[in-house]
Amino acid sequence: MSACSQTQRAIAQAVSLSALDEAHAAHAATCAQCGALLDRYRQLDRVTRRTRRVLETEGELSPNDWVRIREGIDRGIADRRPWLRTALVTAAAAAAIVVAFAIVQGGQGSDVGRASALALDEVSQPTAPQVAIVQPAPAPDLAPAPEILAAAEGGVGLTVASGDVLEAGDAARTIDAFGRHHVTIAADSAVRVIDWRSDKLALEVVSGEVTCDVNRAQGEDVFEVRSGDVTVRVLGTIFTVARDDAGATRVAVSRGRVGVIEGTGAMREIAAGESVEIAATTAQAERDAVVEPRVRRAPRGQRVIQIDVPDQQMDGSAAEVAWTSSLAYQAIVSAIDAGNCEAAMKALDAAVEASRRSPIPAGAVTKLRARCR
Amino acid sequence: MVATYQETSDRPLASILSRTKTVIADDDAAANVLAFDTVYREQRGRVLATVRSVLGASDEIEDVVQLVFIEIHRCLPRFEGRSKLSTWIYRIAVNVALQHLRKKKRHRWLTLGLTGDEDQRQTSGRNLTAQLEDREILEEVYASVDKLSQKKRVVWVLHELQGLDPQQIADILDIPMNTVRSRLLSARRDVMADLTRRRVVPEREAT
Repeated sequence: MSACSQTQRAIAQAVSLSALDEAHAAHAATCAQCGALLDRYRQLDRVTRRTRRVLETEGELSPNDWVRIREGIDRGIADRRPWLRTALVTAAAAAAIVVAFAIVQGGQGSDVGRASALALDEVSQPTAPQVAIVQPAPAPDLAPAPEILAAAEGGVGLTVASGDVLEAGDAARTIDAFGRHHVTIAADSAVRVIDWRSDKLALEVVSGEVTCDVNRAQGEDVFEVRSGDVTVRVLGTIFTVARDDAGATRVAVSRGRVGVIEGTGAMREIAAGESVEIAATTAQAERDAVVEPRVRRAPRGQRVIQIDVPDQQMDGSAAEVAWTSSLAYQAIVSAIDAGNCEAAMKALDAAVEASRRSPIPAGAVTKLRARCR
Repeated sequence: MVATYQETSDRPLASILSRTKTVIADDDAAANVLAFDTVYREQRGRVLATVRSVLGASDEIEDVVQLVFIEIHRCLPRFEGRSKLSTWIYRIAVNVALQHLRKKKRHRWLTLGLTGDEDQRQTSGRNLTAQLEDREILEEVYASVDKLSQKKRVVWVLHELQGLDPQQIADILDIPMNTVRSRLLSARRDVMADLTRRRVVPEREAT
């Protein structure tokens, strides 16, 4: 390779001309061609330096630039959250659709919607036990709707609280409880609400007859109906509890089976097609005699709700539900809560006897006994 | 919360943040604001120069600088000090400026020194003729730079206009130093050839 080639190559590959090797610089000084190349690179270097100086004289950022940057940062932070705005807008739109749908449903549902609105507007104070007169709804414009009273635990529809008394008028009424259970109160009958929760529903027949279609698909629900000192514990079935004027209770099972706990604490199971009639005990009869009319009539037209009855399918395994220790435990607790410790103790013994296959834990028994004392 | 930071001399950010370590901040966000303010005060000149050298002078420089600092603000909490703060700042500034170039893809120099802010920033001691000559040089140089690929452009700008050595450029761009040298020499040849062709650089005949 000639000296010119080496020098031209060195010039072209020099990152900085000041770092050019002295030998190549000396050759460029004596070689016209290499000197011209080096001169062009030096011209370029001068132009570049001038360009750099011009750029450096362009000034600094002003305080206004700092303000603009801070605003841009704030705006940028906001812009980086479009998902939040999207989520909020979507949620608002969804809520609006739901509300609109509910309004449309309420309007189209005729008496259903009106009754629901009425129930929401005129719902009674849940803390004060009261009497609800279940009245037939006003005649609808078109086809008459089933006379169904929808009730839920503090939710949409009739608000039922413990202590409320539901009295059917001159026609039977059906309560749709939590979309699972149907409680049909016969004409001229009344039922007191002991517990009205989604996981426990306890009624007391004040007078007349009540038929319960219970869907205990959840298995852990408690559904019981009391009549005097008789408690009918539902095991998943359709049954009727009736009470006559003398205080006697008749229990008839249409499907499945129920456990009947009498005042003595003895429990018996009644299967489908069977019925049992239990006379009032002396103590209960005396209590009934003391109690003044247990049903006070509320103003007519209050809390009347009509809805369509959804088809309910009984759980196929409901008939096979056993009288578990859990159910016995709850029955005893209910008796204790009702203040009937004597019945509770008897029920405890009966329940232990009845639930040998699934005995109540010893600790629970001890607690119950201690509680009764 | 008391903002405490490890003070290590070879970690520029830690050094900067250490100045705020006695400040009692209510939360991490407040500490980040303190750190960002410090970074801005000390790095704004570098950011401005880098953006300006990559873009050339334009009426959008301030906008791009704003974008750079927004990005710095966003990424600062995640900066771990593995590289020098200046390198990290350069990298963000170059990337944002190149991104802006890709979006715009248009020529600059149309408003250099002609808008109010630009007029106010002109050095008072220089006459209009000198400014026009400088502007003409800039236009010619960047007319050639515009013909480079972005890879060559960045290397050339950082070396020739920002004065960074190849190793610094390699750190900023996260590429081998030989690649930097190769791109730099290639860019220089291209620029010189273009400037010579347009007679910005006089081509002296060999004697």
